[in-house]
Amino acid sequence: MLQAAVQSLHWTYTLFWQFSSQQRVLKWSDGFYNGEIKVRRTVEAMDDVKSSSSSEDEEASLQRTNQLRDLYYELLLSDGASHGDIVANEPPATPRPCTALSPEDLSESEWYYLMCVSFSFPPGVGLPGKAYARRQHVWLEGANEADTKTFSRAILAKTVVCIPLLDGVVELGTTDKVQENINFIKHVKRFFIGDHHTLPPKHPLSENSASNPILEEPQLLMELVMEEDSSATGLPDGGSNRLDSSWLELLPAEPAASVVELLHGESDNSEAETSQQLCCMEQEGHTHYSKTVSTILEGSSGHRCQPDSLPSVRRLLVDSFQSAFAKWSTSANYCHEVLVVENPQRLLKNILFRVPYLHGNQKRQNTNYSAQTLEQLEKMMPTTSHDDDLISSHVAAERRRREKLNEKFMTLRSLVPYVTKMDKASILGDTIEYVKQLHETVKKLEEKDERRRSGKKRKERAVEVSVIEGEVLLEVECVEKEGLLLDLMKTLEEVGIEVTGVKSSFKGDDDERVFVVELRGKVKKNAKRRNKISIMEVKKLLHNTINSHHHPLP
Amino acid sequence: MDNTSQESQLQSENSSTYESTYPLYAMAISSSSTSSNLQRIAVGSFIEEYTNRVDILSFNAETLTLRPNPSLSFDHPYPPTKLMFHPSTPSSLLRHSAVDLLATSGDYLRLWEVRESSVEALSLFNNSKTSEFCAPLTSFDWNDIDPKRIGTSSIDTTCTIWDIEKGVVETQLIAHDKEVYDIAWGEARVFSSVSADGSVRIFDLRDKEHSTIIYESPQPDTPLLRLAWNKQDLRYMATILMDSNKVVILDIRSPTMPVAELERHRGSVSAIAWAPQSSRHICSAGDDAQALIWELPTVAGPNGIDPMSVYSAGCEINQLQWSATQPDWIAIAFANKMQLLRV
Repeated sequence: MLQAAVQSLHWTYTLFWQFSSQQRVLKWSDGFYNGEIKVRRTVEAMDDVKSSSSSEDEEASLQRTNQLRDLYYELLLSDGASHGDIVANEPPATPRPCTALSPEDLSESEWYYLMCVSFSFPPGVGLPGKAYARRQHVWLEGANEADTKTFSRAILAKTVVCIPLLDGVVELGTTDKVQENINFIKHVKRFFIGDHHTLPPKHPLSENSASNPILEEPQLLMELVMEEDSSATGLPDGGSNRLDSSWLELLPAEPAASVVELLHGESDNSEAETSQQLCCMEQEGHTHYSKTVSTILEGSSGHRCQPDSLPSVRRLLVDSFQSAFAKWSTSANYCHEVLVVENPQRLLKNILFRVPYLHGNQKRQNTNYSAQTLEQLEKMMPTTSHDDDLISSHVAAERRRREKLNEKFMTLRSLVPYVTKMDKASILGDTIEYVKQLHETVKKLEEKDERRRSGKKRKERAVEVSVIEGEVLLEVECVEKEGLLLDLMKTLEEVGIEVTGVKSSFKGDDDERVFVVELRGKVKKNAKRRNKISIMEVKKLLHNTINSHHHPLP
Repeated sequence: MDNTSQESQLQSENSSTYESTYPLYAMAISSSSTSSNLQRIAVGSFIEEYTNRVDILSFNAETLTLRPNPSLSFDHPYPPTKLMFHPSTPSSLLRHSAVDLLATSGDYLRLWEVRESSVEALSLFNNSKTSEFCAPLTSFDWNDIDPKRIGTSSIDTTCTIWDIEKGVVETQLIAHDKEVYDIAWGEARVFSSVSADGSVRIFDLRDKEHSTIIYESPQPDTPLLRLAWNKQDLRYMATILMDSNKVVILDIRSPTMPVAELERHRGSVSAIAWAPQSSRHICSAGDDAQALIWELPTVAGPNGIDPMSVYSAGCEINQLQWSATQPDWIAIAFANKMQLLRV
């Protein structure tokens, strides 16, 4: 029925709000979307299709309606939150098939339709509520300009009509401005009551065209209302551009344009935009709409790991008229001075600094065996509110002293590693052990240092010689001496080894520098010398050289 | 401070107040709601004497009523330093799900079973071997990923991790050089703590020998009093310093350098809470009687970050809770009152 009605009228959508007696509200019960269907990010023009075959259209629209509804429930479910207002007529039992819609695929008007599912109206509130209460139809023209009280969903539809019928309210909306027309109402009613009369006469509609410059054939809409079978001039939104522009035009204020960007932005995952625009949106007070948008978007993109794009969506609720928080204004609040309070963070400090020690005292009062006589002293004096100031101040002083001691014990404990128990005796015991260990360590370190300083006599020489097939490798490590390298090379020269490479460096600590040198050489074929040079001989010679170099260190 | 344009619209639709006969400090919001859409909220008194009380209130979000349950009130020795409800439905620990588990910290960690019309003490967790010495707890945190774990922080510089199902200590670590003031869980095995020594350290239970310092207060030894870990984005933590009006936001990936310092309070900050449903929002409250909601931008402006919105209470706000089960409401405590504010 809804489908037939809206299609004959060529309005954008129709909804049926059903009155739920148990909850005393009007809830979304059924609907039909007859607007543009976004297919793969391009908007298919309804009128183009229309001329070819109207039955295909119907199917497409029907299919789209169902898809939208399923999508909505799907998103609700995935969101997890039970949006209390929804009456799930047909909760989807199956998981969403991969060919189904995802939010980016929807056009703006489809989004709007989706949003409507979430609304509910108690009688008297909102357009459908009023219609229901008055049992009279309500025609709202220029719904986009209406304030939120009358029509809180004034985003898309320019004209919205609510007609109380059956046990609820039928709502029809369109993106055009349509003037109130009683015959229209009757026409719609006819669909539901099943009362087919002859078509009422046409009504001229001159005012309409003037007010809507973008739409080229607005007057035809009214004519279409009268006719069951229409020609293909139907919907004014011819193409995607036009829809966008009319969509934008519907929302004259700048913040509203952001809604479009929002929807695009969400699909493009641009975070910064959305947050900004949503902040603007909230000023409009479209709280419910935004809430639903946020629920849906959150549900859909929650799985896509983009938490950042949405938190600001939720923040829509701030600054709405419902929030207890006021918006921050830099000029009014930004003030350098910090108020000087006598006791800052008083309660917090009490909780952290004082209360734990209160327990300690109480505990000691309650124990039967107290190790310290001072504690016994306190026990003799009751600590509950006492008349005698002297005694209580003495007790307080006692308590402070004990607290100080405890604190010092704690500090001591924290300095000592390997502490297992926390009672005072073991803290002291462990500390004693630790100090002993430290003594030992200090002693050892001092000895080591001592030895190091008297390291002159220490034999710290190493000479390694290896000769392989005429190649000589020499590694010397000894205490630093001036000119040692030169002498070593001279010695080798005398022995008949030609030095081909030298690697020398210093290593060691600050005071004792060790000279490390690696000499490579070739045995010269010298007629005067023996061919084979003994390694031991070379070693001995080098040692001699080093020894003879014994200079006292400065 | 009294700027008429900044006066918050405190109406009956966006707030709900409970006035007690004594000052309140500790506060917790239950993570489960009973059948009739009532949310339980526990409030702890702050009386500088031995007898203190914990009251359980019921909040109805639809009718906006906040009512105490006289039968659900119990005694506590000295003020409870923190209250917290079980983070999820306590199916494993209890017989039926109509009850709530409440944990309190003071001298010891205690567990209480909050039933329809009575509160029963379930267990007391005491780690000290001798009865002479007890290390009172400054705070604790209930791990919401692994609810059998509770981590407590104490003035004896240690943090203790309890397995509350078995009732034993899982581990005890010497966390800091001085008293530990707050502890917060990040993942199932990772927690962090703040201390009077001015450092924020992260501990991993898989590697108990080592901890990572991710922040130290600029003036050495300025105690850090509170810590909050962003549950929606585990990279971020927030902390407050003693006598400071700044909220320091830290990124655990870049230690020692705070990501942001939110400096718009006109008095010292006493409480912070991250938004449960958003990774970029945080609320703070302090001695200037203001509760500020901040949105952390990706890039900060030259003058610092301004808060998004503000609420002015009557006097210094001592406590702030933002529960995941009621993300539209922020609970604050000041003087004798506890107030729920719609966000």
